[in-house]
Amino acid sequence: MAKQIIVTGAAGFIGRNAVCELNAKGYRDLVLVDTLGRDEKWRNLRNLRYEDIVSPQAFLSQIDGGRFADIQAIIHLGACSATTERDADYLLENNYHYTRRLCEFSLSHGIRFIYASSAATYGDGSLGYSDEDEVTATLKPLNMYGYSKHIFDLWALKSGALKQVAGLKYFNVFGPFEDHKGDMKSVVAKAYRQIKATGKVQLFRSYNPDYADGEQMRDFIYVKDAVAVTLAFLEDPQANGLFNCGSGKARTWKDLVTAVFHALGAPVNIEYIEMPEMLRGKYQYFTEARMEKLHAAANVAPFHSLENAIADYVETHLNKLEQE
Amino acid sequence: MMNDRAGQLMHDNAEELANLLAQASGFAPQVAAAANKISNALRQGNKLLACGNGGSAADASHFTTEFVCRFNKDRRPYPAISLAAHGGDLTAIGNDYNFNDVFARQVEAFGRRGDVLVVFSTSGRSENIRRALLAAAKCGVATISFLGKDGGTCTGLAEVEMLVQSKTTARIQEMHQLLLHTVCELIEEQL
Repeated sequence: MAKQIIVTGAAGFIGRNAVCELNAKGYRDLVLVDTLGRDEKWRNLRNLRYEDIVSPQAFLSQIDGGRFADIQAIIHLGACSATTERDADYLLENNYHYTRRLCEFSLSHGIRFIYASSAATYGDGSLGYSDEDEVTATLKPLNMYGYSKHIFDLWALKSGALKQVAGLKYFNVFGPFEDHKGDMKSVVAKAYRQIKATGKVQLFRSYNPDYADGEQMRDFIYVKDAVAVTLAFLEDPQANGLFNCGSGKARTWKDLVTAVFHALGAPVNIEYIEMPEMLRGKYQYFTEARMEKLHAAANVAPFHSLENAIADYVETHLNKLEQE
Repeated sequence: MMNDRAGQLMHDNAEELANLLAQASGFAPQVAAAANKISNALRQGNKLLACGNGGSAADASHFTTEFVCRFNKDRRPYPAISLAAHGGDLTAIGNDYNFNDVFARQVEAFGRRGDVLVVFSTSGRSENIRRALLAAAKCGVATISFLGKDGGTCTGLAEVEMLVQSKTTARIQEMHQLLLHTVCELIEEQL
């Protein structure tokens, strides 16, 4: 019998894309772990093939009861990912303790463990974006979400678990099936809506003399590339440690929305608006993942360019959603 | 009178071209990358596809001829197809489907993983070229673009991009010729 793969957060954005790609690679014996809540997240499960779906709490009791005896790997993408969540105890329980229990279970049963950390662990970026262990130990996340991810990274580092598991710090991921995320949706998805509704896109003005309006830069990665990286660690169980998962190439917001206009065949029309006072101090003008460590450890195909990724996203998903 | 006008135009155009030529060596990294992609593909038994509209269609055919016939040296022929040359395909696709798909559909027909597509667009605003680049990415075909002006809607879609930043179509095409010949010369040294 084929060994089972567990995907937590499977109905979420990256999770849904990971399950879809696992299906495409021929994996069928999948158990999805997620809560569906009251939003439209359930829609992400349509067209996926899997054996079972359970809640995170039920999954814990089931592994404690030995119900899953034949697990090959746990891909742990589930978390509360709202950077605005204020309930720190909830984040601690959900993002740190839960992850730690799954990791300890995996290590004691010889199960491959791959987990999602986050670029939010880098805080304001003043310490750079290196995923080397010496740097990880010094990071200062700005919000509780980033901190809850960071505590697990630190535990994995200190306990030596990182020598046997793989963690991925996802940067600005965008692509199909992020529709349920509301305000946490990528700017690509938001720009698409704005262009359809008004013919223009609003971007924040720059308050840093080194960057012109719209020239603030981020590391954007297409979800299909992020999934390819994630699954490379499934296929190579010897590749372990904590790795950045970005494109490695910072691009401007202007490039990003220009590509959305091009994909829609619409004239480029960007309006620069004032940023709310409270955001100005914390705003990041440049993020770029250092990707050397990942490329040395894992064998991944070349990534989509930002423009190719956006054209693919618009044609294969956003336009179809519009018609639905 | 006519001679004066001709002299004036020759002077202005040559000066405009000279300004572009002065920046030509800045293209060295892209020329090298394009040559590498093509010579690797041809060495491995893959082929070259090229397309463009109008003057750029002629450039595409010019480029493929350098491989099927030869550039400088006497060497074996290499497979290279201009997608802008077959009247039957172009008119049928344009007529039955959409002119925007005339190249993309041919890329799907001929393109195989490992092949290389070279596109020419002086404005970067040709929808059929944009779609050809997207189709190539889906088929695992490597992409090289010769663009002009601000790169238009084709910006960022090719793996190797040579953007001639001029507003004059004729000068852009003249620069494209210099670039394509240099790519050919480099490839012939590598093959």
